[in-house]
Amino acid sequence: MNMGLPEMTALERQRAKLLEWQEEKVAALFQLQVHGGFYNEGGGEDNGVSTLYFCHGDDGFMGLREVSNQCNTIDPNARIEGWGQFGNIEVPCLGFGGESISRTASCPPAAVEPVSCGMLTEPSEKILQAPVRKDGFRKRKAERMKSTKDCKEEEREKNIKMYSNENDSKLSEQSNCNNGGDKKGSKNRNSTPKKTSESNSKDKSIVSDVQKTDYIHVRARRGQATDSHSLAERVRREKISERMKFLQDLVPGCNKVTGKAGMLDEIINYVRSLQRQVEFLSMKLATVSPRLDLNIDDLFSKEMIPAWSGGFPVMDMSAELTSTAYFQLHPMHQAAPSSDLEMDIVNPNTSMERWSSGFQSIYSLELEQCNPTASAANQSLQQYTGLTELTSMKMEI
Amino acid sequence: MRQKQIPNKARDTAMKNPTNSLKRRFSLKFLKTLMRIRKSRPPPSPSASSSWEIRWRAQKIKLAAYFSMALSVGSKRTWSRALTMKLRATMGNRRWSSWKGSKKMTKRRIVAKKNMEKRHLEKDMNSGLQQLRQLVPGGESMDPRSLLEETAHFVRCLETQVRVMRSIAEGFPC
Repeated sequence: MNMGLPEMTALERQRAKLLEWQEEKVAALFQLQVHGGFYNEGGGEDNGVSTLYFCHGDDGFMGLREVSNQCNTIDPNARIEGWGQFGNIEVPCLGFGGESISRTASCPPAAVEPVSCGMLTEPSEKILQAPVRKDGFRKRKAERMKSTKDCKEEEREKNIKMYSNENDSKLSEQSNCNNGGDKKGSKNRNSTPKKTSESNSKDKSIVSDVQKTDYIHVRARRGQATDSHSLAERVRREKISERMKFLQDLVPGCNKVTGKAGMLDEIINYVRSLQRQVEFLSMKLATVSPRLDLNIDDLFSKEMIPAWSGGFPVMDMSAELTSTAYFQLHPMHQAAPSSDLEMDIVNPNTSMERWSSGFQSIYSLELEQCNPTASAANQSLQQYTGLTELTSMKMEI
Repeated sequence: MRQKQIPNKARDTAMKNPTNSLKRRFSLKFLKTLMRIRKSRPPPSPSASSSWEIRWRAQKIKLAAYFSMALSVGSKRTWSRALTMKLRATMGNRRWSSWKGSKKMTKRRIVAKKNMEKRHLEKDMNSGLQQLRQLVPGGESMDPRSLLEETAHFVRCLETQVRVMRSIAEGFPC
C-alpha cells in the first residue's frame, strides 16, 4: 500500500478508489461470482483470488495485483491464511469487499450476489453498507470516519512493517485501518497497553481467527450501536462479567443473587467474613499457644519441615515429639492444682492424645498432597495413636 | 503475560487457583512464625494483663498469617506484592524500600487511575468496587477487571489460610 499513495489519507484514498471502481466493476463482479470456485475448497480459489484482484485493476492497485500474484503461489491449503493476508489489504479499496469474501469463505456463493448488487447500486459511501452484514460494515464505516487522524499516525508508524506477513493486523493497519477491529485495537493500544495483548476470545470473524494479532477484533452485533466507544465499553463489560462469573462460582451462596451489585455485595461479605475468621482463629491460637513449651517448638520447626517435604518419616518424628510433649506436659500438669494422682497421669495422656490427633489433623492436611505416601503415613500414624491409647489404658489401670 | 493459545477457561483456572503446594508452603511458613511468636515475649506494659497479652499475641499471629500467605504466593499477584511490600516496610529493611518494582508500580498505578477516571462505571458497581478495593490489599489503583481477578485469587488464599489455621487450632484444645 505504500507504493502508490503515501501522501493521501486513508479516507481520501478509498473514496477515490471507490468512485473509480464503481463505474467499472459490474462485469468484474460477475466474473468474481463465476469464479466462485473461490468459495469452494479446492484449487479454484487461487483463480478466484486472482480474479478478484483483477477486478480492481485500477492504477492504485497495481501493487495489489503483484501481491496477489505472489499470493497465488501460496499453498492452497493455506488458503485461509493467504486470503487473510491480502484480505485485509483489499479492504481499503473495497471497504467491505474483503470482509465479505472473508466471511463468505465458508458461506455459499449466493450470499455474495446481493452484496455485490447492493454495492453497485448505491454510488455513495453507503455502498459499504451491504445488506448482508450490515452491522459490521456500519461499524467499519464509523470507524473509518474517525480514523483519519489516527490512521495517519499509524501509517507513519507502520510503514516499516508493511510486508511483514507474520502480523496481519499490522498489515491491515497499514491498509489504513479500515478494519474496525484494528482501529479498536489501535485505540486500545494507545489507552491501555495491557489490553492489546488480549487473546482473540472476542474475535468473531473467520479470518482473524486464524491470524495472530495483538488487537481485539470485535464485531458489532445486530441492533447495537457501532460507536467505537460503545464497542470498547461492551468489550470491557463482557470481560468484567466473565470475571464476575468466576467469582460467583468461588463464593458460596452467590448463585441466588443475580446482578452485578448484589453479587459484589455477597463477595464483599464473604471476604469480610473470611477475614473475621482469620482474626478469630488467630485469637484462638494466641490463647492456646502460651501453654506450650518451647522445646516442642524447636523440634517442630527443625524436624517437621523435611518430613513435610518428604512426607514419609512422619512416624519417627511424631513419636519423638509426642514423647517429649508428654514429658514436658507432665511437670506442667503436676504444677496444676489437681489433687488426684490419677488425674496427673491421665491428663498428660489425654493431652498427648489430643496432641497426636492435632498433629494428625495437620499431617492429614499436608499429607494428602503426597499421595503415594499419604496412605502409608496415615496408617502408621494411626497405629501410633493406637499404641498411645494402649499405653494410656495401661497407665490408668 | 497471558498465553493466547491456551483456551480461556483452562488459562483462567490455572491462573486463579492456588494449588495444593501453596497450602503446604503457607502452613510451613505460618508454623515457623508461630513458633517464633510463642518464643517472643510481649513488650512490658503497665497493665500486663493476660487478656492484653493474648490480644497482642493474636494480632501478631494474624499478621503472621497474612504475611506468610503473601510470601508463599510470591510476587505473582498484585495483592501479595502489596502485602510483601508492607512487610518489608514494617521490618524497616532499607534494601527493599528502594526496590525497582515499586517505581514501576507507581507508574502503573498512575496510568491505571487515569484510565479509571476516563471510564464510565455504573454507580451501583462503583461503591461495591470501592469497598473491594479497601478489602483486597493493593487494590486501590487497579482497573475493575484485574481487581475482580485479584479478589478471586485472594479469596482462594484466604480460604486456604482459614482451613490451615482451623486445623492447627483444633489440634490444641485447652
